[in-house]
Amino acid sequence: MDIYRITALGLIGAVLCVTLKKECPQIAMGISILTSVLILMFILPRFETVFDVLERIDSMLTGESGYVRLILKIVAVGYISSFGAKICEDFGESSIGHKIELGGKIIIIIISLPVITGLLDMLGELMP
Amino acid sequence: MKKIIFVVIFILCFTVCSYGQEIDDSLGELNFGGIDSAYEKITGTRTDFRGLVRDAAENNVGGIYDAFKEMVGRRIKGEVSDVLDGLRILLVAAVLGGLYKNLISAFHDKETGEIGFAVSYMLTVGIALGAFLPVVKLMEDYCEGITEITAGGLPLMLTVITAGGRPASALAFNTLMSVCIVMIGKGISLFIIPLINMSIVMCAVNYLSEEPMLEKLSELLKSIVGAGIKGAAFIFTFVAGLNKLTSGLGNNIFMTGTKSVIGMVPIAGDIITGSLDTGLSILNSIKSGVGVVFIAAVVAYAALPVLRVLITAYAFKLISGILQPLCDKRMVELLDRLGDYGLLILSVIFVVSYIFVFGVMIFVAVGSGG
Amino acid sequence: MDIQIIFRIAATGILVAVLNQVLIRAGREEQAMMTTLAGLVVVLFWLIQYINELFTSMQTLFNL
Repeated sequence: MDIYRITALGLIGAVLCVTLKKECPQIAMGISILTSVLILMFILPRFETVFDVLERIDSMLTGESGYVRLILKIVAVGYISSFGAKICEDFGESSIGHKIELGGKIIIIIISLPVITGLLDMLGELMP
Repeated sequence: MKKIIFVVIFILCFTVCSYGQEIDDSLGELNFGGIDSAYEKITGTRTDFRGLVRDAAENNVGGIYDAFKEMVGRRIKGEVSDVLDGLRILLVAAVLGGLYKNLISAFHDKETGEIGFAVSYMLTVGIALGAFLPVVKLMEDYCEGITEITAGGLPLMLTVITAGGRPASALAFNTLMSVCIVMIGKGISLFIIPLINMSIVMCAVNYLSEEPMLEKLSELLKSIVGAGIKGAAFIFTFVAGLNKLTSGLGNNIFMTGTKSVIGMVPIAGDIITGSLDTGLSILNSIKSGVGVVFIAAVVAYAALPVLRVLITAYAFKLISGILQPLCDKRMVELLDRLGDYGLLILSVIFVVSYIFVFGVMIFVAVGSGG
Repeated sequence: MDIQIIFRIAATGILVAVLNQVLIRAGREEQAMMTTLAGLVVVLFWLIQYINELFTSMQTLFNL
């Protein structure tokens, strides 16, 4: 089962990371990053089916297309920035982590400008 | 406005058939000087009451109608749009404030994912509004259509029906009735419809941010609209009642059934029910074919929009109920409120239809029955 | 699953740490730091390949 492999990988990585943290923190950080990357790479292909369902929902929204894709992009940006930020925080560089998250939030807002302008347009249509 | 009221009251005082010569004689005895000077003092413009009254009594209603159109078209519109401009600015400020607050509160001290939630929430609000817009458009088109048809057709009907030398009191009543109909129609499309639009916008914006920002204002606007609709129906019933048509039918099954159905119309149901007696008794006394055709056309024109609005309103409420265990509280409330607005729109359509259908019925009955 | 890579990096890390301690005790601190840096560069080299692979696959998946 997938969950066993993921947990096992995570635990091994954590143990090695803790072992090396005091002696050689750089390498420990490398191990931590790599464990996270491996787990993600393992899970990602499983997402395809979820995306197919979401594409179907998207095609059901008549008149507006590409919005579900937009939401997926936002989720991706959110996740990646959180990934980077948490790892930085783990190793003491929390301010760098915070800036990564800030960058992620700004990018999300930029990506979602069409939604905001669409909403404003619709409200503008109603007002006299 | 004052001009019209004075003229009509004078005409109502003529209880005899008046034609050309007799009018001049009767008018010659009256002294319009006092009224002329008072009017000039109040409004600052000169006028000639004698000429107006003579025109009206000689079945020449063009002048009154034009004066009325000028008043409704320009003055009321000007004043109403001033008020609405102020409201619109307030609304734009509120929308921007709502968006800003939403974004900022999603920014600070929150996970990145929360911003994603805020954005997808805005998207959902946009989609829900988009699904509701056709209903609003339907109401606007319907009211515009009915007002245009009636405003265009009424002067014609007025002239045709009263060209046969009717008594002046019938003419007066018909003038008053047509004035009332057009006034209410224009009032609804100039005033109530923009108010409804604004309160829908406020309702949507209210639920954009986490704390309800515009709730009180939107509720206030909704109750103003409700009062406006009730007022319009009431004014119309009152004017119709001036004609003293008594009700002959009260008790058969058809009447009670129809009454209970019409009583379910939201907000204005009770008032419309009250005048159903008058209406159905008029129905019996209509002898001309023109009126019946007009009424049938209006009813057919109204059936489809009414059905559509009704289905949409209840669909929104149904979806809101279904989503309640699954979704965020804000979304559920928004959909519920949109359903309520759907019902409000339904009552507007009903009241407009009622006013025009009954108005024309009374018009025709008075004109042809004498 | 490429769990081997983790062990490889861990082994590199332990090797670097041991060499570090030995060279410091032997008094050659600059060389100690240089071995640390060398181990870091090697590890980063492996790491970047994996991160690149992850981000490309995320990009193709989410931007479709």
